Amino acid sequence: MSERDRRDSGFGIRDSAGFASSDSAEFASSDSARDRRDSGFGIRDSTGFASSDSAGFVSSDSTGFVPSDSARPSESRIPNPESQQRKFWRTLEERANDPSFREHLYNEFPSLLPTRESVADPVARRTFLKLMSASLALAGVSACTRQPAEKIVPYVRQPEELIPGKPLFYATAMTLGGVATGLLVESHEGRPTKIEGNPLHPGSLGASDVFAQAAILGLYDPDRSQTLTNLGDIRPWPAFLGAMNAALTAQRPLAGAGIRILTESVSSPTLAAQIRDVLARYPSAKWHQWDPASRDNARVGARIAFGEYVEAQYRFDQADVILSLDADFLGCGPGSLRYARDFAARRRPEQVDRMNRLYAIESMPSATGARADHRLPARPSQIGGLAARIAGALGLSGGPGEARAPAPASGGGDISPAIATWIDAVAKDLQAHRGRSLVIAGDSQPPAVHVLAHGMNQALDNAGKTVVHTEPVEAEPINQIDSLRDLVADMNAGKVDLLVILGGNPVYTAPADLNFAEAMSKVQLRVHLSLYDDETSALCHWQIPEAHFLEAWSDGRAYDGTVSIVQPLIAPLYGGKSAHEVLATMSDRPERSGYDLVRAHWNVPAASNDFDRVWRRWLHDGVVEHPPIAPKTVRVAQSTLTNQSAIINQRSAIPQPGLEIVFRNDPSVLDGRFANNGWLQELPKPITRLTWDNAVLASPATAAKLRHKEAPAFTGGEHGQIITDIVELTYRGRKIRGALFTAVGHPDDCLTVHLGYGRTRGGRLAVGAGFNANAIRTSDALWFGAGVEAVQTGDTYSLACTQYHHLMEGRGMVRAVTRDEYIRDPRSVHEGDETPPRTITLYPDYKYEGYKWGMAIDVNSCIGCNACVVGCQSENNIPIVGKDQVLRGREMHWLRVDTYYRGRADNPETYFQPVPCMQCENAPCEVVCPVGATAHSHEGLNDMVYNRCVGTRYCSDNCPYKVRRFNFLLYQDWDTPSLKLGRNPDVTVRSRGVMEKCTYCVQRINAAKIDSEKENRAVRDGEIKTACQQACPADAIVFGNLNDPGSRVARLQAEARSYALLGELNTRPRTTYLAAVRNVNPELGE
Amino acid sequence: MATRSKKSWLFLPAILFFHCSLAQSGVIKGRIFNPFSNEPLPYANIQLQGTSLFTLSDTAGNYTIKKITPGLYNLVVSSVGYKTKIVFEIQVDNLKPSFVDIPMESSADTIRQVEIVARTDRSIEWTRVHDLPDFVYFNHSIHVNKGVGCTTCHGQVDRMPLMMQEQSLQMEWCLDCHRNPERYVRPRDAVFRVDYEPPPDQIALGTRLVAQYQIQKLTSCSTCHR
Repeated sequence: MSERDRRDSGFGIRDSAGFASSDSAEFASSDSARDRRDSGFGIRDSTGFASSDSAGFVSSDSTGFVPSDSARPSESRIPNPESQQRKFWRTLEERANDPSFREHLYNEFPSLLPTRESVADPVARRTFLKLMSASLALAGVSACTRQPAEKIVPYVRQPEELIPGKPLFYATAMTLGGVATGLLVESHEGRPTKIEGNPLHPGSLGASDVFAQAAILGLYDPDRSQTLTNLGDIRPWPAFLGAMNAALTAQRPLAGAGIRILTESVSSPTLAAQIRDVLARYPSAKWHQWDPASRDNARVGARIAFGEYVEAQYRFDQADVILSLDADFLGCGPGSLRYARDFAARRRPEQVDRMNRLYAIESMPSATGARADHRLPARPSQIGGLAARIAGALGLSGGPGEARAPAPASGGGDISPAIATWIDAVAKDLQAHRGRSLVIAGDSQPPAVHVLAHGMNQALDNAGKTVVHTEPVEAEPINQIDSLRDLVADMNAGKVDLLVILGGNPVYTAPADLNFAEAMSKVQLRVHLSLYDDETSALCHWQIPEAHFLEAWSDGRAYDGTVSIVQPLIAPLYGGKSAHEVLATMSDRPERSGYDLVRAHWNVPAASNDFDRVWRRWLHDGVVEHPPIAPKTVRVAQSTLTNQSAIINQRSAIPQPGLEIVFRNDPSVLDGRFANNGWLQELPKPITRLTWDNAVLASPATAAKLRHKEAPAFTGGEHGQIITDIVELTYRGRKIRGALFTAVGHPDDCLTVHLGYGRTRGGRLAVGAGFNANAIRTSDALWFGAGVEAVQTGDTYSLACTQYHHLMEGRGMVRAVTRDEYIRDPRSVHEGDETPPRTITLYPDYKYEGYKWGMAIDVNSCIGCNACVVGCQSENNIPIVGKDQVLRGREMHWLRVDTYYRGRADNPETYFQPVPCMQCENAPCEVVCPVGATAHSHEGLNDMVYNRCVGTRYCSDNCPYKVRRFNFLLYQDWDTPSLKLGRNPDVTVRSRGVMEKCTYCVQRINAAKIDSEKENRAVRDGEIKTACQQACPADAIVFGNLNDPGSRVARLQAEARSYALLGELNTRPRTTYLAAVRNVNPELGE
Repeated sequence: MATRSKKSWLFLPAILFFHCSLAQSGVIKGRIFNPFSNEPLPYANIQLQGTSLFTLSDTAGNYTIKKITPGLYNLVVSSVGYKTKIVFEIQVDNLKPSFVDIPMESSADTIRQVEIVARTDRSIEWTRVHDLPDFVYFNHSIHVNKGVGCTTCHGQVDRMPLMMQEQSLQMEWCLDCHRNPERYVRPRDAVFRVDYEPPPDQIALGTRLVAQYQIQKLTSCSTCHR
């Protein structure tokens, strides 16, 4: 049977269903906008997907998957409250069934809308035609020429193991916030091109996060600092050595009293040894640490609780009931990749007795809160009080009587009965799972809450079971904000003569009240090692370009203490230096290389026997065989608990008037260190789905309150252009202005601002995006504080938010049931399914011999971390488009993570759904391509042939999943040399005017097939991992051969909760989803 | 209707082009050859100077350029290993084809190849002869493993005075083998033999090898394009 026949059969079905239901009145509309749309994109409209008349497609009300009523006046169908409750929504406008929003849904393609002046304006139109004819004439001249002659330059001496065209993989590690994560980096002829997690590393298990994935772009960033400068003049390295030597010589008689070294959190054993060596040579010198992603609260909490710095590691594989006190353990922080894997493994409803239950109290909607079975939004100041009540109910801290002090709930009196029930139910559940429960306090919560969490774990007998205490992973755990304060005091007192800043950007990241820049100006010699010429560099005498971690030797410890050697993949592109090499200049042997230093540190006498072999093994595995950090047995004293509970009770008893402010590191650019990384800037942030900006986040109720009685300023603008108000925040006398944005699920009377934006230096992408929240952050309230005032300025701002892109018009994309519903009927997620039978067509099915590729995505596991999106971008050479183009809905990500909500706007259930190309067997895109640029492969892939594509965009218009992306402009940077190095040579770099989409990483499929063919065997299950699958920490994406009934993907697709997106269209998608199952506590209900 | 009248002028250039093409009827024909051996030169590039018209000579060295507006033209002929030659002022008219046979002089570059590289630590810069378009992905190892000989695609390189591209490398040529591999495959142990001659019963041998090596007839787009 030919491909042609097969496609026709699929089309025929859709035809009869679709056209029959289309609303003919729509075609007769004389409205100009409509007209334009109908003539240009009649195909999609006429299929009638959006029309409510297509009654055959509408699932029954009981399941609640009702498409939004678009063609009729709303009163013709009044949704009953129950179905409204069960309905999924993406935006508040969608939830409210806003008519102007429904209009917006139709305009999938913004380029031809009448609002675009370039098309509406007749003059511009003529200019366009003129330009077009000119370029056609040019095309006539230049066509049909041969390719320019290319040179082949072979190696004179070919490096070992290198075969041109075959990538090599090296193990290394990336350190962030003092915690190393093991990585495996792909290298093509010496150029690192792709980063993956290291499966042998306990902190990664093969997964990676967005920062690791995007580090490849950071390496090749053309804006990196490229030369050693002294006051802006380019100087050679010996000049710096001379200056350093002179400063050190002057310090020698003073025993180094004027020397200060400022680092971020250090977990590198070599670096710590080097610093201690310098401190030994200059006994009066001091080492300060400041990491804006500071974990001070956890450190101090542990010290108060146990009398010493102790690290807590969690065993999610052992935990049945988990309580998070504002801890986003799935989204960020040490070990989050491992935690996400372990957590997700305990949520498979197929093993229904092993399903864990997560309770989350949180002040900013997070990945952890989204995955929680019961989530309680609370102002950050309330969380301590709530924790104390739970502790009280568990019998800690003097009993429940004392804990039930007046709460700071907005009512002024005691907490509402609903919250009281919540607390009792949580306490009961924890109590019922002694030794198998877990309480985690977030890094932004004050030390006392951490002490309480430790106390609760102890009372619940969890210590040593679900929570393991060890020696700290960091080399020198200290209270970093105190350390920074001391440094500023010393600088102000004129005690500092030489300040060496190794990494970090303290001028930008230090809290505003410390006036770090002013204090620093009193230091005689200031040296700054950094990747970018940033705010701190501008105020330092010497700026040393830092070697990227892919360019330098180092080492680091993982969350559990595992040591990895950081080995470079490439020689420094710009002659950068590592922190090891800069510190060496302060030692007696300033010329020592990073390699010598790291190797010498580990070549201690005990290991020296055959050290070469051992060293090579470490480098190969990416993990140092070293005894792991031994667990410690520590106890919280009852008196400590009582004292700390008293602090909390006193604090939360005082009613805090007005608004609270919450500071958080940005989920994409963190503290600003990734602000010049385009992949991260354009990455829709989890939950808010904002790109290129930060915003002042507020709950819908608070936003409404702040805007007085104005009409909502949030108009679901042209595909994600959110016109919003700029508010002025005044906090302790300091002011900033920022765009206000509504975040559903955010607690009321509290505003969240993300750090890392509003940069003034440090690269062309970093500068100009968002506002600087550090300007109102103070050292005594690093993470939250009360008494902020927000005032409307009357100005507006455009935010680029992708939550409004690719809207699914209310169709049942996400499915979720409770555990009880699932147990009663595992197929309950299929209620209302309308999948046509395979026998509906007269034509025989196409037989897929050999491989039949498919994918299963578990909505239940997905934590919305976006690692898959950046992994895909890196693997497939996907360009960034810039904020202006995102505003027009033209972002190019092949894979998007949709966020769906259900229920109340103030505390909805949240679901994440990664949507790549579905690789439909009856692909609607293929039949409408006039040039055959998209066609089906014999293995069921929906191939895209770029060189055939002429850019009609019909395919995209006909795609019900909205997964095709069009290069409206030449988005790819074809000129910058450094960016060329980082591209995947196995994937075409697309040009302007070409459609593209997810290919299931066909380059990986072909590579694996060729390997297997050469070995005369079939491709093994799990041998091919798509880029998204490989990055996923939650193991939510599985790819494989559906013709092999034993393959993981075939088994997942056979599961009861597996469903196809829009299966009623008979597209027969190869990508299917596994419905979410929430493990609801029966006492609390949904 | 207003919109229709606006668009109708777009057809105008199309009509004009059509008329022009009636006038372009001159033809130049001829043969490109090596005067010393009298061997034809295939795949020489023949360009009509000042126009976008060009062609390649076929395997017998013959070429034809059609649809030339009558007038005087210069012909530029280039081929790898030969000096580029310009034939001046060829008269082209509508009445009969102009015949121009072109002898090509070998370029001295041919003998400048022997160089001891290890001593200088400098690589030889090779000119790439077999250059696939950027959107085509080709893997040698799998072809060699499935019994596609070197000379099947590259020609008898040991007999070439200078490396040249013998096959067109166009998609149709690739597909011919992908559709009918039995016409081209050879035993694996003969893959690297430059003097291999297909046996008279190639189809029988090929059919047997296709089964033995499990050669698939891969013609999906993504086999080569990604």
